[in-house]
Amino acid sequence: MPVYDQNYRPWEGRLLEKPRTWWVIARTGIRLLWQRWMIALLFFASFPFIVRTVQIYFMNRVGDASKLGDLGKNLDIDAGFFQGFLKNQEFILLLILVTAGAGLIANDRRFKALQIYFSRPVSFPDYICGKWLILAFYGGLATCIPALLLFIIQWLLSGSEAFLRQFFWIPFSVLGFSVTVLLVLGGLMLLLSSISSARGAAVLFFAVIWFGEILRKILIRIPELGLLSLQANLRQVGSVFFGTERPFEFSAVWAAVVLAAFVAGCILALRMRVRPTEVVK
Amino acid sequence: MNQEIRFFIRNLIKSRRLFWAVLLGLFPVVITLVLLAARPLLEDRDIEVFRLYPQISFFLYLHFLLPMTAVFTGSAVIGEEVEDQTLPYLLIRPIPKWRFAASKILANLVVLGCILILSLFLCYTVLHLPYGLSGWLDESGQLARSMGVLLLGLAAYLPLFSFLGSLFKKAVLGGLLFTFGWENLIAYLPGNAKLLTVVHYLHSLYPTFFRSNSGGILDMLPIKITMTKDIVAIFVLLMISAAGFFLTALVLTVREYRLERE
Repeated sequence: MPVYDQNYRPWEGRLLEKPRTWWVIARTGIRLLWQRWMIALLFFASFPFIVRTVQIYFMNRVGDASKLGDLGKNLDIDAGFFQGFLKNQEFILLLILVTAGAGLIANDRRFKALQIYFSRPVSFPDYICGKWLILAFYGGLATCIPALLLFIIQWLLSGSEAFLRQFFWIPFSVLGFSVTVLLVLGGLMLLLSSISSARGAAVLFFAVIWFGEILRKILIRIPELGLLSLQANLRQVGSVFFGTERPFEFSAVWAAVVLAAFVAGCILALRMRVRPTEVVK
Repeated sequence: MNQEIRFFIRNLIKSRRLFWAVLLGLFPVVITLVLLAARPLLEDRDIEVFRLYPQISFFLYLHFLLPMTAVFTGSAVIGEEVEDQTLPYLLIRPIPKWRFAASKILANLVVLGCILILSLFLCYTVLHLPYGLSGWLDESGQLARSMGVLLLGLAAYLPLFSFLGSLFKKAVLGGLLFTFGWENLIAYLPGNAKLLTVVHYLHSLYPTFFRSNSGGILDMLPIKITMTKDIVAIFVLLMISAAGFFLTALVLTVREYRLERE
């Protein structure tokens, strides 16, 4: 077509009243983070899953008399099994959250990208929701996805409906607990990323999580101080989700209240830190 | 080299990193003040405040503040200059690259060492306040030894994480993985794997709480863990420190940093 034939063509798309910008932020963030470090971490995170799968296989498929059967002996596949799996993934989850989340808001602030975000149809909930979904995606790959896969593998290998009938509620518990953990830890990560540089956020994230736990260990004779530890609160709430014995002596209701207040606090603080304009004094 | 060290100390004092390091260092002091305020409550539960010092110094300082601050600042020694794209300006100065690396690590060591030592000193003093000067003096040997071990630990960790920071972009992650993953996992296992951790040598030197003859952590473990002799532990820690210094300087000399364009 000759150049002189080209003329202005109006945009023919449909203007969405509520464009799902949170989804665009999440999708782009997930794609950008799919890099060497993240793949390596997810690879390491899959080791416990592989071990548990082998254990389930030997327990179901190899007879007790076999030497290989010992690998799966003494393994009760119940709620505690899935809770234990999620607990073992804790450390790798922290590393994944640090890798994915430390720079999420810090880099936007550093490169003054917040102004660009908020000059488009992006609101605060869109922005935070999009960023949190990035953390939830990578965190979920290390926690709830493998736990749900383990459940399906056990169901398929057990060869009977008894397991499903007895533990049909476990996938909901896995999902509920994983979302709780990701809400609390993801909220904390985003908050720290908004108040510090990426490096600072990474270190502070570990500091906040370890500090409460260390304090709990030092004053172990005062069980109520466990409420100061995010990890202890999460484990206590986890035991409610899975219907297992409470690991600590303080009330699980109080643990849930502390966690809810913590998440609310994180959102409030984020609201103050994430602003389209910054007043330079 | 004095001039360079002074320059980097001045730079560090003005940085936001120092603010966070001081804040981290103040945490235990605030906690001990809270414990002091809650003394009657604690005594109701048979907890004497000054008896908490070994636990606090062991858990909060050796296993928390020391690695945390070392990862935070160590990884930034070279890493921050690369991130901020200021490394070329430093390297074109007429000073050898090794001297730049060494003086920056030393400057961080001096500043962080002061923060840690001061924090531990305050913590010890606050916990011993109710017992007067004699109570303070009684266990001051323990305090001096803890301070020495912390300084040695910092001298070992800081160059190690500086080396990581000069090699990798995600050095913080590597540092956290090493200190809170590898060291926590391996340090309490029987066998020789623990010799591959820094914290094992620090445990060997640390006073009272960790030692088996004082009802410390070693007594609580179901397995027997052997400690390294003091002199060997000091030697190994100094060797780790020297290796860290050397490798950081080597990487800085050999490597050509390609700065990213924003």
